[in-house]
This record gives sequence, structure tokens and C-alpha cells, in this order.
Amino acid sequence: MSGAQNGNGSAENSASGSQSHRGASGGKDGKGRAGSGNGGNGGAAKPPPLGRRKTATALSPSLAANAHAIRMQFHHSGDLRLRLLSSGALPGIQLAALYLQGIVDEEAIRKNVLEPLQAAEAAAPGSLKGKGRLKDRIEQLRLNVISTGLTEPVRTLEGALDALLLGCCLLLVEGSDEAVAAEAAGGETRQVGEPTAQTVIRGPQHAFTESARTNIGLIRRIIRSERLTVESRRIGRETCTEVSLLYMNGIVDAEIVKEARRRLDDIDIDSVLDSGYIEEFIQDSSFTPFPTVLNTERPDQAAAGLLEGHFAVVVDGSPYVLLGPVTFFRFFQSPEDHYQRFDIASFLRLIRIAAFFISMHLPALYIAITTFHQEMLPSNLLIGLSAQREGVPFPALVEAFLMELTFEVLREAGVRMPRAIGPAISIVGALVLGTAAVQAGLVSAAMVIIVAFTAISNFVVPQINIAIAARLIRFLLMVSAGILGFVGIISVDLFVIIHLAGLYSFGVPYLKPVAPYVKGEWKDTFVRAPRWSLVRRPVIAQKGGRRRQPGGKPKRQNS
Amino acid sequence: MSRGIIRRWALLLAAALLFLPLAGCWDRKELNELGIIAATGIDVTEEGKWKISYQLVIPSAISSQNGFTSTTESPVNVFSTEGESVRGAVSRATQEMSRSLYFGHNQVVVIGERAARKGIGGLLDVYLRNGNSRETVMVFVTEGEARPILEQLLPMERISGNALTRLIALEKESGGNFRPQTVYSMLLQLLGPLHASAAPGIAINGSGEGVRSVDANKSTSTPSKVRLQKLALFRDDHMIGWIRTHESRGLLWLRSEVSGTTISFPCREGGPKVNSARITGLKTKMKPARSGDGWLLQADVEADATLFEYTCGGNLHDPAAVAGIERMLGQQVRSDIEDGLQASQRLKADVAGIGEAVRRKYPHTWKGIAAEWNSRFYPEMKAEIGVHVGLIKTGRSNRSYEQASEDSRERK
Amino acid sequence: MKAKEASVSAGQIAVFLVLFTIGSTPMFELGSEAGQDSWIAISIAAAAGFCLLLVYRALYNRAPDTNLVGLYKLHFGKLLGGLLGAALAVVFALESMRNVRDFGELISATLLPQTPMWCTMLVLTGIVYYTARQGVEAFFRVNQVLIPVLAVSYISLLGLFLASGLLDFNRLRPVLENGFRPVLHAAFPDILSFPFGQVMVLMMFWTYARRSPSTGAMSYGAYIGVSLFLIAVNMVLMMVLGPELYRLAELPTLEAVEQIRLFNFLERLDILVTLLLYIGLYVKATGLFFGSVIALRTAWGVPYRAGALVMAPLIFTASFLEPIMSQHLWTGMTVYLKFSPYYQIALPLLMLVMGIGWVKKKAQRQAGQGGAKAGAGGQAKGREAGGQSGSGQSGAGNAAAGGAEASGSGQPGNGKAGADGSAEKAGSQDGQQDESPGSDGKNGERNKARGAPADSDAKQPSSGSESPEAGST
Repeated sequence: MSGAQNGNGSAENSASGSQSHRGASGGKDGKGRAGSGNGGNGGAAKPPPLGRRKTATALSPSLAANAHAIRMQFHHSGDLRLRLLSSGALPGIQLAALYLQGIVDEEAIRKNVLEPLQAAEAAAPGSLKGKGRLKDRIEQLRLNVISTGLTEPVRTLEGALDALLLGCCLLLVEGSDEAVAAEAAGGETRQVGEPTAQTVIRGPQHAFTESARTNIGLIRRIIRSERLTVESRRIGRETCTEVSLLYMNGIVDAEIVKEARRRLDDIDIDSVLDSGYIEEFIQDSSFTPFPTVLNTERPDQAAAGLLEGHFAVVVDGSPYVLLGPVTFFRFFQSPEDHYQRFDIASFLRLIRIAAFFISMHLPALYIAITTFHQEMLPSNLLIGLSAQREGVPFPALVEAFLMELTFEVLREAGVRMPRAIGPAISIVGALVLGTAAVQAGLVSAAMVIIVAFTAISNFVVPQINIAIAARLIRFLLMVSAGILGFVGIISVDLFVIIHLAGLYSFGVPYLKPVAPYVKGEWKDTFVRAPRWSLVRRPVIAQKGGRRRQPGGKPKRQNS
Repeated sequence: MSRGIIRRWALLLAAALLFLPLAGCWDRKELNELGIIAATGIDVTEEGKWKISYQLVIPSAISSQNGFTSTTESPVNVFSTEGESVRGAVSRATQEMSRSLYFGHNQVVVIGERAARKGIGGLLDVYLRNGNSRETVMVFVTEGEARPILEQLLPMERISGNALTRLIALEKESGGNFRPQTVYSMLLQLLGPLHASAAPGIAINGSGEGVRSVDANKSTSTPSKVRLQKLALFRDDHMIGWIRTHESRGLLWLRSEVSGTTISFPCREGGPKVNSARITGLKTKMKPARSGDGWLLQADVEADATLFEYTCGGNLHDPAAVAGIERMLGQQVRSDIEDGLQASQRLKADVAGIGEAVRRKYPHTWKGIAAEWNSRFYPEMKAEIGVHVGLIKTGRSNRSYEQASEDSRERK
Repeated sequence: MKAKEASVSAGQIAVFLVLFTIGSTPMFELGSEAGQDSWIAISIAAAAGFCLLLVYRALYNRAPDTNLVGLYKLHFGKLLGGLLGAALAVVFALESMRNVRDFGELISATLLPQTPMWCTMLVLTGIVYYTARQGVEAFFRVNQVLIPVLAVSYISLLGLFLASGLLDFNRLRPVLENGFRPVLHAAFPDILSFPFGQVMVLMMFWTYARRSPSTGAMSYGAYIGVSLFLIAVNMVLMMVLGPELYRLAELPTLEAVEQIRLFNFLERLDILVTLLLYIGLYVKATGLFFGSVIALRTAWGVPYRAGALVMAPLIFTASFLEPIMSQHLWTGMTVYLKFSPYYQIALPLLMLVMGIGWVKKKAQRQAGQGGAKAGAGGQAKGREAGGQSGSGQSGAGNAAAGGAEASGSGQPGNGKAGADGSAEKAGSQDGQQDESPGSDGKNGERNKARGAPADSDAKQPSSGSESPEAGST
């Protein structure tokens, strides 16, 4: 109903009668930008998400009726506060300020809304009988008196609800069917702290928090360029979560941004509780263990990604920012690679990649070699292993599965244990279980070593989501090794490679730059070349925006 | 068919395939189902059947789960089976063995003389045809039966199969009398144009029946030992005779396969061989040439020598003395080579590979004489051996001890 | 709802050629009847194969927008061409089947003797089919991932051979002991047909790389490189095994590698070789499978996915046609070797000769029927005296793939130059529109709308591979 869209005071339904949200009318208001009738959200007018509001009911001129309607919608929730007041600027007219207690900054409301209103003088004496004049008056109030950051007129009940829910203070005026929403979002949020999961030794130590505002601010503080563009929208019918798409205009490829934007706009979901929800919607393929979207809790990593031509998605309420498009090798890059010198960085990166493969293959290799291809072992090792396995009741495959599953259980338990006893129990669990099992003759010592090393290798990879892929594939490899030995391992490897070769991340082939082979791309893939030689941005960036610095070795004093 | 239905069936099929492991994994062999064989012995019984002996390794006697090795258990166990064919005999092992025999780590095969003389063609075929028998296995021949060799325990070694490989490798490096002979190189030689090969001999020396129990190792010396001696020559796939150890060395000289050896030589010709030198860096060039109706071999041998032991007079700074030593060394080497040649000529088997040189140099002529090379031309071949030994190091003293003590008496 | 056409770079073609030719070649004793001169036989056959490659490339240049089956149709007319195309599809399928069977035999002989062959062959067939589902571009990318593995492995093996002292140059002498006759006899037709003649399959793939100007040069270079490699491998094998053992052994490479023994622990590496052969067989089987399915589609319009779905089980079951290995080998030796000269050598030569002058014009005429003229077509060999009619527009940098097939009426409007960068809206040259294999119902739209990260510069070698291939054509 386009009528509802403009909201030009057309009172189709009376405010009290409009309870239904499930109407055939209305519908997708979400597409419009600057929905001035329905907006009333704090900040830049972000339209409510798809499907959230199905109707648009106009406000009534009666303050009491409006207040009552609003209260009814909230089912008389206790944290909806109503404060009646009057202002010198509108003498004789009743005003009411509504806000939801937990999400507003009450101090700001007091200072910026209530006090100025109460202190305001009548601007122009004269008759206030006519409606028009009232409207102008209110408009003046809004513009001159209320001193919060942003104010918007609100004309519908749904708009009023949205305004309240998003942390605005709603000002109702008796006799006017237009209300004013003043931005006053506040409430307790977490302080900027240290990253918990993605830590580095050298490098910035701040991390994203749950507030999108803060997060975007953190990024802005790093990238002081006007090319950094922020496009926000709200997603989630019940949560109305602010989701922002960030990119460097001129660096990022326009097609990629278009695609990202399209996917975000397509999301119609009930709630968004974490960036993971968004990730599952915008990723390329759900049926793959490999992630196609990177997440980070470090602003410097997000900024680095943006500067290289990725886009970022900041989700309010989640300290993890999504980066895309992303290739397989990006997951092995730790931000620390870029803060330490290039030789140690290259070495560590190679170790990471090696560790990833080890953590996938080691148990399977053990199974394959000891049950199918014993010729590959040197004689002494074979005899040693044979001696160890004397009396072990289970075949190697079962043994491996048991140990791996035990370790997964231990790991999962370690996540949830209270801080005080957590480390102790996990160490005890691992050591005691392992050693005791060996001595009881249930498993062989070599198996314990292998499982332990595998698990440790798994943690080496900087990004957890791809380490998970390794964990899952590891079991598949073990099974196939148990059936077909090396042939099984190679078959699964081939299968995974083919799968990766056909995977895309927002249009970029997943295995770039290895396949398709791109010549100049290798300076930051397996090893990191010295910083002064990283002249060009990766290929995902736009063609024109590739060159980032002049390059060349820095001049030395004595050269 | 709609996409959904295809998908469902495909998933069902995939799920069904996941039950494949339950069908039994066909090639799996757990480690504790294997009987690891370290050495094999080949014999022939009086009835002409093959008798195969196996040296089975007992892992828990060698190393165990907790790192404690049991020293009371013998590390190996030897048993034999008989059969009409080689693999037939092996398959009989299932009648007395609880584990499946695993030959993947078999290092050594010892062939008894009777079996060698009968012919090892069948054995070679087994090695070629089967994937789990490696051609890197080392071949030894023994007078008498092979089984007693397998039963021997060597000092300081837990598994005698491995020990024998180390034994012969060391011999090649330092002793120079024998070199390891694998099935692979035997095949190459027997299938090659010369159809002749050799294998080192092994025997039990000393008194008594040999060291067969762990208890015997509890004393400081053992009554008998396994040692390498003599070389067995093969032609066409059966053994034709033995030649002595130093003759074997001579032949190895010719093939440039001596890595290092120690030679004893006299001060003067004909004298007692009280000096010694170590030879390294050997290179032989063989030049065959026609001489009349037969052939002449011109061989040039060059080697480097390091003096180990010296009792003659004279000062080593004196070039004449050095030349004398070199001459003596050269004579020793030459006599070894000539002995070796004559021995192999006597047995009519060109194991030195001279025929190969002929073939390379005179390919057309070779075609005509190849068939009779071993029988006719080789035995009648003459040889001119030129040996030049260069003394490169004389050690840390410049005169012999005798000389020095003589000199010190004179000075008084 | 149009699928984007697969696009491949010249480098990827070269990589594929190398892997494909190496393929399962180390499994067989090439030129064994020439004794120690087998390497000479291989060299001669490689040279002859190079001439064949030139012939194929010349044929391709007549109609760069289509593949071998398209060429059949141009030369022989739609009906006969279609029949030939279908026959070609069958031939490729059979050859692919042979590779699957080779794989089964190999694994059964070496690594997994007790495992029934249907299991291992099912695994390989499954992997081949899965690759086909992922599309042509994915397959070429897989090759790019695999080639470093192969390169490193073979070089290490060479190094190990050197270090272990197994190489004996004398085993290669005397050279030409028996003269040239056995050498020539070994080279033709045996070695020429396998492995060198099988590069014919390239003709099915060259069209995907047509936007890259250096495809021809890189194909030649890759061919030369891989020929040298095969010659070197053969020499090494001969140096290790000697002529008799080489001839005696069923799997000479494995036999040779088994002898490596270093440092007391580095031994028994034949497992490594088996795995290298696995990869080689996979590339061959998949390449031929693709060739078969693409041929089927170009010939009779069988949609890609249906074709793949049908061909895969066919190949799997057909691989059981020969009950035992010696039969399988015999079939290979006699039946294939007898027929392959016809379709590898005779037919292309015939086409080359009879098509002088008119085929190219016909191809370009048909390209014009579908819409805008085909741009930048020609690596013209200057056969036509009249000049290329289409070349007048060859300067136009339109990245439009005009080439509508003779069979299908090109979609009107397909020929229009693609609006955005490298995104090709034009259908494939045989007018087939297939859905991207990876797309299901709801993801379908997403796949179609994948933007090509703009590398609109057609010169960049990687550009082609960047455009997301939403399914091979």
C-alpha cells in the first residue's frame, strides 16, 4: 500500500483498531531507503527489515489514545516509561515522553529532551488553534529545542513502536497525529577489550564489541579515508538488527559488492543473534565443510581485509565481523604475519599449512600404514609398533576412532568448564586418560601420541572455522583409510580437492591463486614477501585499484 | 523425476554405501596378526622337495609396550615347511603358524648348496612375480643346509636377519672381499648377456652346533660364529662351484666394486706379509682386444692406498721407499686379480663382466660369440693386468718402529 | 537463466596436457621390443605426435568456437557429423573405461590385492563423475593443484635414483645394437597411438581457452616438455632395469622404484609411484570422460548433466567387459591399436586436406547467423585466398562469443557483446543452456547472478578462469 508508505496523515485505520500485524496489505516496506513515514529509527533512516511490519496505522491526535495504543502493543511492559510534561514553547498543550528504560541513555533524555523542552520559551505568541500551526510548532521544537543527535517525525503507530524499540525517546503531543522521535540510544555495552580467540603476540590488542557503532568506529579509526563506505540495513523481523556493509569504494570490485548487497537484502529471517546467522545466509554453499566467509574479532584484520578489496559485514550484537570474499589460503594468514618480519612470518605460515594437513591426515596415515602398508615402515619401527600392539584388543581403526572421539569430548568439555577447574581437569583428563589407557592395554602408546599431536596441530590454524573442516574431514579420512588404505586416503583427498576447485566465494574461485594460477599473487600466499615488495593488492580488488604503494626496497643510509 | 526425489534416492544410496566397511575390509592386516619374517632359508630335501625355513621375529622380546625388554625370551623363532614348489611350501606354513607370514621385511635369503646346485630359477620367479617379496633381499649361499644359519644368534644383534645385511654392508665398505648381492642384481646378471652371477657364502665357524639359545649369550665368548667365506658362482640359474675369499676379492677388483679393503704385503718380494695398507678409491678400466683367435683383456687398475702398518726399513720421505711400497702393493693386487680370474675361468663363468665390455666395444662380433662366451672364449682368455697403486697417506710417523729403534741405537 | 560458458586459460590447458600425457604411461613398458633403444623409439613417436598436434591445431583454427565434433559437422554435414560425433563420444568413453580398468588392475596388483576390483573402480568412477558435476573449470583447477605434487614426486624419485647408485649408463649401450628396424617398429603405431595420439582430446577443450592468445604456443610447449620427460623416464628405467628385466616386468616403473634403498630407512617407495599413477589415471579418465560427454552434447544435443549421469554408470559396467587382465591388455594391444590410427591420424588428416578453403568460411558464416559477428577469431593460417570475411571485425574487441552451431539456432541476441566485462551471456556454441551443476532450486538464482570480478581484460591469462563458471557448457 503505497499510501502507507508516504504516511501523509491519511488515517486509514484508527489507532486503536489497528492491532493486526498480519494483514494482506502493507508488506515490504523494507526496500525503500529513507522511509520517512515508517522510519523513525535512530540514526540514518534504516528501513525495518522485510516482513516485519505488515501494516501501517496512523497515529491519532489524542495523546491518551496514542499512549494507550502503544502501551497495549507492549502489553503494558514495565520498562516502558511515560513521562508527562509541558513545555513553555507549547503552552497549554500536554506532552508526553515515552522510552524503554533499558536501552536508552536516561541522562541524555533528561539533558537533551526534557530539560530543553521545559526550559523553552514560547517562540511566537499567537494562536495555536489551527492544526497547521501546531505542526509547525512541533517541527520547530524538533529542530530547535530537542538537542539529541537525530530527530525524526513519526506518523504511524508502527513507526512509533520501531522508534521506541530502537532506543529513541518518543515525544507525543496532544492534538497532533505526528510524534517526534529523538535518538537517545544507550545502555550498558561492553568496553573495548582484548581479543579472546584470535590473539597475537605483536600487534594491536583491541577487539570488536557487541555494538555495531563502536565496531564501525574502531574501523574508521584505522582507515581514515573517505572511500570507506558504510551501508546499513536492518535484518531480522523480531530483532531488527543493524547490519552494515563496509567496503572501500574504488578498491573493491563493484560486482562483488553488488552481490553482497543483493544477498544481504534477500535475507528474510526471524532473528539475528550473531554474525553467524548472517554468514549462513550469505555464504555460497551450505553443503560444504569449508567456510567461504571469514570472521574476525580484530579491527586491524578487518581493516586489512577492507584495504585489500574485501568487504566487511558488521552485525550489531556480535563481536565478530564477517569478511568476504575469501579464498582457501586466506584462512592461514594470521594478522601477526604482517606485524612480524617476513622471514619468521613465512616460516610460521608454512608450518601452519603443514599443521593443517597433518591434523587432517595423521590418524588416517597411521591406520593406513599399520594395517595395509606395513612395508613402508623401517623394520625397527615396525617391530616396535608390533610389540606395542600385542594384546591391544581393538583394530587400529576402532582404536583411532575411540581416541579421537574421546579427545573431542574432552575438548568440548574444556570449553564449558568453570575457569577455576577447567585447565586442571583437561590436563588431568588428557594425561591420565591417555597414560592409563595405555597401561591398561586398551590402546597403544603410538595412538595416543598421534591423537595428541593431531589435536595440537588443529589449534595451529588461525581461523577456527577452517580448523573445523579439518576435524570433520579427518573422520572421513580415517574411515576410508580403514577400508582402502592409501587408496582411500588419496581418493578422499582428490574428492576434497575437486570439491574445493568447484567452490566459489562471492564469485571468486576458492583456490585462488593456486588454481586458477595467477602469476603475481604469490607474495602473500604461502610465504610473505617483504612489505616493501607487496605493491599490488590481491586480485579480488578492482583492476584499477590494484597498486597500493610505489614499492621498491627502502633506501638505506650506507648503501 | 523431480529434483527432490533424485536427491533422496541418491542420499539413500550413499547411506547404504556407508555400510561398506561392515562388509569386511578385505586387505586389512592388523599388526598383531602378522608374523614378521626377517630371514628365509632355502633348502632341498633328499626327495627333491623344497624346504623353506623362516626366521620369525618375536616383537615383544625385542621391545615392548612399556619399554622393558625381556631378555629371557629368544628374539627369533625358526621353523620350516616343505613342499613341491616354493610357494606351495610357504602355504603349508598356515598349518603350523597362527599368524600370516609377512615377507615385506624379509632382508636375507640363505640358499643351501644343494638347492643352489639344483637351480634357483623357480625361486627367482617367485620373487619377480609376487609383490610382497622384495628384490632388494640379499642372497647368501651356504655349504650344507641353510636352516642352521637362521638359527644362529649373533652377538649384539637382536635379529640376525637384519644383522646379516649389516654384516655384508660393512664387509663391502671395509673388508672388500664380498659385496652384497641382491636378488635384483642377480636377476640382472643372470638375464644379461653373460648369464653368470655370484653370491657370497656364509658358514658357521667354530666348535659345536652353534649359538641357538639365549643362554649361550650369557657368557663372554660364544663357541661358534657366523661368518662370511667363499664365493658361490652361478651360471644360468644353478650353482657351479665355490671360489676362495681372496679370489673373490680379485674379481671385485676387476668390477671396481671394492670400496675399501686392507692388504697385507711384504717388504720384499716373497717375504712375509707383515705390512698392511688400506686401499680406497679403486677404478678399473677394462679393454678387451682380440688376439688371434681368442681374446686378450687389458685391465688397468688404479687405486689409492693409506699405509697402516710398516715394518720395513727406510725412510718414508724417500721416494724410493714409497715406490717400493707401491710396487709391493701392486703385486699383491695383481696376484689377487689373477687368482680370481683363473678361478672363474676354471669354473667357466664370467662373473667379472668382461663379456659386457666385449659386447660394448665389439657389438657385431659379440653377436657371433655370445652363445659360447662362457664355455669357450672366456676360459681361454689371456689377461694383462696393470696395477698402479698410489700411496697417498703414510700415517703419522715417517719411519717404521724397527727402523726408528735401529736408528736410536746407532746414534748412541 | 543462461549458464555462463566455461572459460579456461592457456596455462591450464598446458597443465592438463602435461598431466594427461603422463597419465598412466609409466605403467606400461613402452617400446620394449626395441630393447635399450626404447628411448629412441619414444623420441621418434613424440616427434610424429607433434606433427599430429600441429594438424589438430590447424583444424581447430578453422572454427575456434567449437570442438572436434563441431568440426565433424562442418566438414561432413550435420547428419554424418553428428554420427561421427556420437561415435567419438563412444570412443572416448571406451578409452576412459580402459583407464578405469587400468586403475583397478593396478591397485589390485600392488596395493590392495584382496579388495575386489569393483570397489576400487567404483571409487574412481565416482570421483570422475563428481568432477564432471563440478564442471570443466573446476577440473582444470584440480589439475593445477595436482601438478606440483606430481612434479615434486617425480623429481624426488629421479634424485633418489641418482643417489642410490642404481643408474648405470652402460645398460643403455650399445646404442642401436639391432639397427633401426625394431625401433621404428616399436614407435609406429604403438607409441604414437598411446600415449601421444591421445592428445586428440585437446580438441574438445581448446575452444574453452579461445580467449587466450597463447593457447597454441603453450600447448606446443607443454607437449615438448612432457615428451622430454617421458623420454627421460624411459631412459632412467632402462638404466635401472636393463632391457631384459624391463621387458619381463609387468609394471616396469614399480619394479625399478622397488630397488631404491637408501640410508637404511628410505625404501619401499613403490607405494608412492602407485599413488602417482592413481593421479595420472584420474586425470586421463576424467579428461576422456569430459570429452565423451561434451562430444555427445555437441553431436546430438544431449544435455550435459544427463549425459554425465548416463555415461558414468556405463563406463563403470563396461569396465568389467574383459574378465581378466591379460584379456584387457590384449584388447588394448590389438583392438585399440588397430583402430586408433583411423580416428587419431587418418580422419583428421582427411579433414585437413578436404576442408581447405571452405570450412573456415562456413564456420564464420554460421557464427554470423547467431547474432553479432564473432570477434577476434582468427589465428588464421591464411588458407583462404579470399581473406577472412569475419576478420574484418576481428579488430573489434567485443568479447562476444558468437559462434552459434550449425545445429542449433543460436539464441537471438546471444551474439551481442557481453555488456559487463567478461561475463559472457552468450550461450555455448552448441546452443545448449544447462543449469550449473552446483545449483539447486533455491541457490539457482544466486549462482546465475554471480558477478564476474571484473577483469575485463581478456589478455590476462587468469581472466578467463576468474569468471565463475556456473557449470561447464
